[in-house]
Amino acid sequence: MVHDPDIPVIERVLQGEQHLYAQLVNKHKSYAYSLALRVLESKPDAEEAAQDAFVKAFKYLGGFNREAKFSTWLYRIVFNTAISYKRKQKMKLQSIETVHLGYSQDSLEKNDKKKFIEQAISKLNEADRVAITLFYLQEFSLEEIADITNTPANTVKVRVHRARHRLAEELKGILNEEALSL
Amino acid sequence: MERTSNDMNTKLFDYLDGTMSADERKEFEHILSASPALQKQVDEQRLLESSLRILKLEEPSPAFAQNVMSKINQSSQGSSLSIRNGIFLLVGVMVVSLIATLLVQAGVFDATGSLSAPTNMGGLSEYIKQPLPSISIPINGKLIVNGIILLNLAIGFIILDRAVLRPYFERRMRHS
Repeated sequence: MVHDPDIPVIERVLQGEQHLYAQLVNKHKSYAYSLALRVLESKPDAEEAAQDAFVKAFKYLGGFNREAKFSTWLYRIVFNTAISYKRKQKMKLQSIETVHLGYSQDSLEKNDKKKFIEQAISKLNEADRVAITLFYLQEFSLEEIADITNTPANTVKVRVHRARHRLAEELKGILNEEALSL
Repeated sequence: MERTSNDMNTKLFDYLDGTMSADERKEFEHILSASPALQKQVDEQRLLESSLRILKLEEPSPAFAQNVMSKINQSSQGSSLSIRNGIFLLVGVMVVSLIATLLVQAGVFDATGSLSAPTNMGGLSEYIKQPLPSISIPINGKLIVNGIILLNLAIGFIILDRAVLRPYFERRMRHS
């Protein structure tokens, strides 16, 4: 069993102190939301998916076996919920323009480094975006990323390396374009 | 060719992440010193890695936690029966089944009746000239009540599973 600082709170929630679950939500909401946002690329959808994931996690909290950290288990639920929202999005045939509109507007802010990186990340495919997010934002280990995304660790390693390489290439491309347009 | 490039990429990232052994590191640095292209790639990647440090988590709406908690409250209020109500319902179903079984055993439903079409048409007889065919459907009261008892038992088992046993074991699992 791993040492997990969330366990005492989880135990109290399971013993009936339901309101304490808000502590867990507040602690993990930013990461859960960021992860959902990387998959869905839409803020309202990411907000809804992340909220649904927290509700699901609460519902099945009794079944959390504590072999992994609560955060790993929770982010797996967030990831799966976001993927399922993504499938629904595809079924609705959401217009591509809506998704990319933000980025074209963002390119107006030429001197913002973060915007360039976000733009470069947005050009990666979904699996690479998720891998990069998990790798950099909370510095998960490759094994933990493998657990969250239900992918073999070797595949995750290749994916993270590929994503880092592509990100560098994309960033170079964007910066060249920006330099040309100045 | 592509495989070699992938291998080199893997080595490059292992080098940047510090996950190489001392020997592997030495060997890679030797290759690096002989290849300006690779050196350039390492520098670019280092620059990117430092840039990625500024990436921050996105923040959801301020009402996020509140929304989650109200969704949880709604779902627990709208969820199925409590164990106590489930037991009451189960007792009710069992009492009905028991009473019906006792009545069947006492022979209350033994008489077999039939459902027949009326022969006396009253005021309609002047409009209907043709004699109506005689229809008679036998009704076995015992059989019908036995069917109702079986249905009650099936409902009882479903209530026992959904509203009593499942919540009970879920609660036990949480406390263990």
